[in-house]
Amino acid sequence: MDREIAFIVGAGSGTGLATARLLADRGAAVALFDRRDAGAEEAAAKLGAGGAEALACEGDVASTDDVRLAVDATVAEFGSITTVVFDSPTTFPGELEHLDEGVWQANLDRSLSGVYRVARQTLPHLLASRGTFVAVASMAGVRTSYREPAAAAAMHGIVGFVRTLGQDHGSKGVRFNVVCAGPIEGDGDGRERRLAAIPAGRFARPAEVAEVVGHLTSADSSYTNATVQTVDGGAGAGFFAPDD
Amino acid sequence: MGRAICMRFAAHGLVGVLDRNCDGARETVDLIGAAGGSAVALEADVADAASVDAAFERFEAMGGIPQMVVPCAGIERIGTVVDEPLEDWDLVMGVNAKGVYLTARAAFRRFVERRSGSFVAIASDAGVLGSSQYGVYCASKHAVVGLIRCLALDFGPLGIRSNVVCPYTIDTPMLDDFTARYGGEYGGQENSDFWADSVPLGRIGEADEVASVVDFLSSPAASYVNGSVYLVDGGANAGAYHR
Repeated sequence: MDREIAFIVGAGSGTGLATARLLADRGAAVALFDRRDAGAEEAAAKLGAGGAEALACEGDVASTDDVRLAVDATVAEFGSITTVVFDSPTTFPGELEHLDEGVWQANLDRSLSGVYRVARQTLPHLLASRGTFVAVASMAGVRTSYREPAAAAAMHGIVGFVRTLGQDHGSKGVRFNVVCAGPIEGDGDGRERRLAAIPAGRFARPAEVAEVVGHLTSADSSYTNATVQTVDGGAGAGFFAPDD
Repeated sequence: MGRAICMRFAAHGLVGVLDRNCDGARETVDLIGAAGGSAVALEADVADAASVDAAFERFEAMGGIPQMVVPCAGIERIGTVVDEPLEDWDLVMGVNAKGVYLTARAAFRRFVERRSGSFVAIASDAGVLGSSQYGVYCASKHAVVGLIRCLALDFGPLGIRSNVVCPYTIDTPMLDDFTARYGGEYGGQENSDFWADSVPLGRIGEADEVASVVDFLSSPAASYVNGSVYLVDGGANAGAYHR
């Protein structure tokens, strides 16, 4: 791979933004895709001012047209795409009683179906560049998501979908992996109770998740394909009973 | 695989190369020296507690500080519960499971004193799934995964991280030994592409492709990765697959 060109979905904030920074720091050209006013413009401007090649792409992953236009704009600007990162949304509506069908559909549309749209639109470019694809999901991809069944459904769906893409396209030199991250600093409610179950005693910093994404999109992970890699401070290892 | 990990670790400082086969360890030390790094050979049997403890003490006496510890010794025997020799259980569990336990025992005492350290065990895809005729080996590798998860829970609060890498078929002396011992006919196959054909990436892995993951997990970049099971298998264990 001569030059790394990354297309990052959800790049306006959080893990997506941290990933954009990490990849730009290692010399990649980065396209930052996010919704209007979600921070991608400012982030791209800042990265550009720091000397990186950065492009902001405004759009909604729930729109096939938006995704296609952003992918096309990235290829027009940088020539190809070698790395795709999808940072999944972190907030979902609550228990089943709150999940009207429209709400359910809307949530799947910007998570699981978003991964589908991005994978579908970027695949030709990844096949041409023998690139890598990483979806960042939450630990709800491998466990439950307490009082958020839609999150568990979406994340399990992302895991199954992306691992299968790794099977289907691995022999063509494109690797697909999923990162399942523990709660990130600043996300959601019920913080204290969740914190008590984490051996690390703190939530993940976006940059720590980005490091795992960085590894999975680098040559250092050349034999890692169709896997789920967790970054959760030990919370998924089992029942945790603190000493004191 | 152990050698590949040592070569990567040489970039970080003094490497203690522990092996039962001291000639092999010395070769690794020489390779590291030739590449500009420094390393010491430590002869030890990982299945023997006193031997492991003594190796850690020798390493420290030579100025080494065990900060990134990787138990990588492994032995492979196959057969079913009906036909496999009884001795295989003690042999395989002794190296693959007890060896990791004894290494952890020596390493974590030191980690706890310093409130830091990283432990990355090498298990196998057989640590998370079954495999035909691999009952004893699978039991030993599942033991490693279980132990690592508990180490992660017990020592995570101290900032000490424990993770496990699960490689699939890798081009190593262990694979050569397997082929020599079982005639390359596992699964009724003589085809040398048998293993490669089971991998979506279409090839077996290189030792350095595992070492690079171990190196990442041992580094500060993996600061929030603890209790994780990282498959390095080219996609072989994602689900049913055929070319």
